[in-house]
Amino acid sequence: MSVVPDPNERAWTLAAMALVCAAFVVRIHNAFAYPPLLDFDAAPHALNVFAFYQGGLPDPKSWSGFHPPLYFAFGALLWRILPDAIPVHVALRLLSATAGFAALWIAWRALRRFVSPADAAVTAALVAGAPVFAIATSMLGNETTCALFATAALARLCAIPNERARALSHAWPTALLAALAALSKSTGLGVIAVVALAYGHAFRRDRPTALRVTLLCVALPALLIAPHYGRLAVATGSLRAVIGGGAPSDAAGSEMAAQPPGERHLADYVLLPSATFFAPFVQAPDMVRSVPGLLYATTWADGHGQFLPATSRGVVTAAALCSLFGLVPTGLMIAGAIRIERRRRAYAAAFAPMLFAALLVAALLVQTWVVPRYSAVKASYLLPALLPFAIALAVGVGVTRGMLRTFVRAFLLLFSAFATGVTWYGWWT
Amino acid sequence: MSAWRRCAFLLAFVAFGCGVPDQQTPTATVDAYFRDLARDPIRSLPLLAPAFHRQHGLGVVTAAEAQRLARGEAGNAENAVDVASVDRLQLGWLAVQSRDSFRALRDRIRVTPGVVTEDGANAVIVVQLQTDDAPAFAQRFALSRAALDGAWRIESVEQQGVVAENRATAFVAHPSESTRRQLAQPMSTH
Repeated sequence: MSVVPDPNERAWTLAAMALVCAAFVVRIHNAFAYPPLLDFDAAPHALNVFAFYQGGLPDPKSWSGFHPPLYFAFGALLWRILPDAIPVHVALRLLSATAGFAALWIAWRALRRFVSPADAAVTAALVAGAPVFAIATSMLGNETTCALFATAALARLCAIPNERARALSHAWPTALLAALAALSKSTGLGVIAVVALAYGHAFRRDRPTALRVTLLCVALPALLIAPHYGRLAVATGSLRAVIGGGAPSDAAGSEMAAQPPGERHLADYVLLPSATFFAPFVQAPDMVRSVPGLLYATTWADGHGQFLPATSRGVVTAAALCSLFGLVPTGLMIAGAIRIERRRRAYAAAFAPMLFAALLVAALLVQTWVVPRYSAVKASYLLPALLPFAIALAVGVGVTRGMLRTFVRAFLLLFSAFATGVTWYGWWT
Repeated sequence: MSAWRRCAFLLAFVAFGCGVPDQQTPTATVDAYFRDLARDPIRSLPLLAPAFHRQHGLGVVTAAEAQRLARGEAGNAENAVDVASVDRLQLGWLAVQSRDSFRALRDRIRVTPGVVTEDGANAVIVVQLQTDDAPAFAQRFALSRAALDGAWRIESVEQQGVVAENRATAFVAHPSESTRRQLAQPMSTH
């Protein structure tokens, strides 16, 4: 943990907090300003909410009926209690934004374990403005709900107590949060696995305790998620339905089936076209094939052009600047990850979140191979790993010293402010 | 009773007791239809009976059907949409409302209430629709009251007075696959 006495620490923290608040205000604006149902997979998500609103469950064989119920149940509840003046899609977006910022708040607190409060705040501000986070929290969908519970569970893994007596009492809330992540999106299943591994590893020298706590971390979530995932498996007769629904569920095919590239080659995983930085949209040459290019462009810009109109010259320029500026936090993140790897003992508390991030990245790469469509290459799928990415970035910031640190902090805050402005929906009209 | 339990009961009451549907009368249902069209599309879903969706016929197709379309076997895919499950038609209904041009035209439509005929659990409402640059046309809603919850839902829609000049407006007022195909044809064929 690096805590550097700095008379300006409080000023950095306050500036970062102001940016996070501004980002949240922009999300509220976006919830109303972004046209209805342009969000990723908006219509099928809406049908899931409608099913709960009617007091039923989504058809597991429908397009998005395979998604776990938590976000949609909350959405239906909001539909019931909010006045008609607030459109349902707006309420669903506000729910998404609230969950995203709650996840960010938890991550912010967890970061203080690894870096100074100012570095933690600056990192949180950068995440709040980062286009991948900005766009996910501007759209309806279950990604940020999963990110919230995943972040909460992973943050607890950073503080597993040493005492055997507290093992179970600390583990069960973590297991519950992991279950809630899995009840938000199937990505949360990975959180359950990492939670069980982390507690087993933490108490490895006391085998009976390790066994008990691991069993608890598997059994409790299994009990909670069994009704949903069991129903899916029974209804579709396939375990694949857990992540992709049943056979008729690919009704998205009208658009999805026609999406390029249609087949994957190993070269797609090393190709990084210059458009990644100068025209970071899928329409640009070679972008549609490039997995790293699209992942980068959907992190620091709007690679799919789902939120920002790629037809506007001003938007392309602004997105290109975001993409170029994103090189700095990307470099810091890599530097932070290397430092964490080299000083494993000092950063032992980050082990479980980093493991989850590695698993999630690997799973995403497998998905890009199995589903060779550009829409399957989307950085927001990695949002449940918000905490480990933030840890790597914060540690990367913490590595810098003196004037360089001042420059890095200032740059990240300015970049966050710029990106927040770029993702203010409608500025181009 | 603990504060936690009181909160839980209050939440449950608000969630399940206070939700009053818009569809208490046939007129309220039609009013809500036009209020929500392209502005709050999700809220329009409870207003519409499955028959309404089967009538409009706008739906999404599966990957296999899309591939057949791409190979020029359009008939198969269209047939598939014709027999599609309601959820696929609901997806089509929602998706069409997300288009910019759709919303822009919706904002220009003026709705004039007309005749309301109610007969037990069935009702018919006719409204006049017009934009500044196209002739007016009539839209007739057939509604029925569900026995289960007493809500009025739209079963079908018919339009009269639709010509080439107001066909786009008619599509927005009642999006349907048949009107979509007519709009997709060159103007000279009308």
